[in-house]
Amino acid sequence: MIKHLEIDSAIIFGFNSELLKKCIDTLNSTRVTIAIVPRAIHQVSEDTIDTCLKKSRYLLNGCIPSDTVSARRLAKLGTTVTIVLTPNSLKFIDESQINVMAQTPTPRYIEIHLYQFLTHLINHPNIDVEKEFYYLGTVIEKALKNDVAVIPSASSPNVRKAILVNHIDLVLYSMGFSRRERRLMLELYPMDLIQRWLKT
Amino acid sequence: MNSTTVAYLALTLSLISIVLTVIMNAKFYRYTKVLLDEIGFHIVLHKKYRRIKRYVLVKFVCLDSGFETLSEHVKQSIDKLLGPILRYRCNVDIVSYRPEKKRAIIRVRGEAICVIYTLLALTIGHLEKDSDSCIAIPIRTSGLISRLKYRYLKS
Repeated sequence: MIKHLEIDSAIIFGFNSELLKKCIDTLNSTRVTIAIVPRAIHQVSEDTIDTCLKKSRYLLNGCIPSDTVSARRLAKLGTTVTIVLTPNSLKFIDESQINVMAQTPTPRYIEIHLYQFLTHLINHPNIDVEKEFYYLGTVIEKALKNDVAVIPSASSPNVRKAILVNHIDLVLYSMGFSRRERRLMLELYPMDLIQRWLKT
Repeated sequence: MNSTTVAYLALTLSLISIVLTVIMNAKFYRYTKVLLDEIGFHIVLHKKYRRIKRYVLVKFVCLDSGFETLSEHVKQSIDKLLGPILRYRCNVDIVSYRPEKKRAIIRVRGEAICVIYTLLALTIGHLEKDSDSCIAIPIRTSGLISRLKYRYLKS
């Protein structure tokens, strides 16, 4: 991205300048090849579902459905977008939606924002956290059985609250997923998504 | 009657007896269990509480300084996240701690489930609302502390 994009224009896009400079410093100091994928996450309802399709060549869009209708339309959408699971959108993505996703010719991707689940677990002791994690577990299991790709996302608001791959692995392990399933979710499906996105 | 028929007969007989034993065993298993319970065999044979010991190698990523006070902080955070009910079955201790390498070895004693809970507590410790502590990354768990030594000592 640094090759193709100036830092100033990146800030206009809404990136944190301090974070971006840190990123560039780290990238320059390491010799590992790193790919940065620009993302945009939209909260969509039935009417605003078209925002998911915008700029899909430059951005890897993710969409949070806010009702059942939009979730159903998202499941049928043709382009490469991810359907984002948060504690709020969890109840709209159930077995029937996953069945729809499994039947579409192009593979569908479910993205899990684990940060919100984990903050619910720690910071809001009142709400029914067990239920959320139970539903999350059943959705993931159902999706994996039907060959719908599930990608846990490490997105978090700032560096101090970062969730790393080890952490995701541990959370999935504590939810009872086997080594094979975790490798699918953490290695295979994300690469698959990025490859497919680059092709379009 | 030649020897082959005799052999086959013997084979069928033994097979029948095995099947009978299995059926009877399944049927009477409950009764035998109750009987053994009554006699008090289970006190000798069955162990109710299996205590295991695991060592967890943890690496810390700190954005600020303050790694020196981290050792206490980590233990407090784990204790708080585990809660009083789990603490009565799970013992978490920091065995070894190296500020310069930013690595620590944590020992978990107790039931098998304790290890998972401790790992989870380490994972989500830095997500707390007003915590400015370091990010803990569990790297490896092992039953033997010597297995962790190599990774622990290298920087």
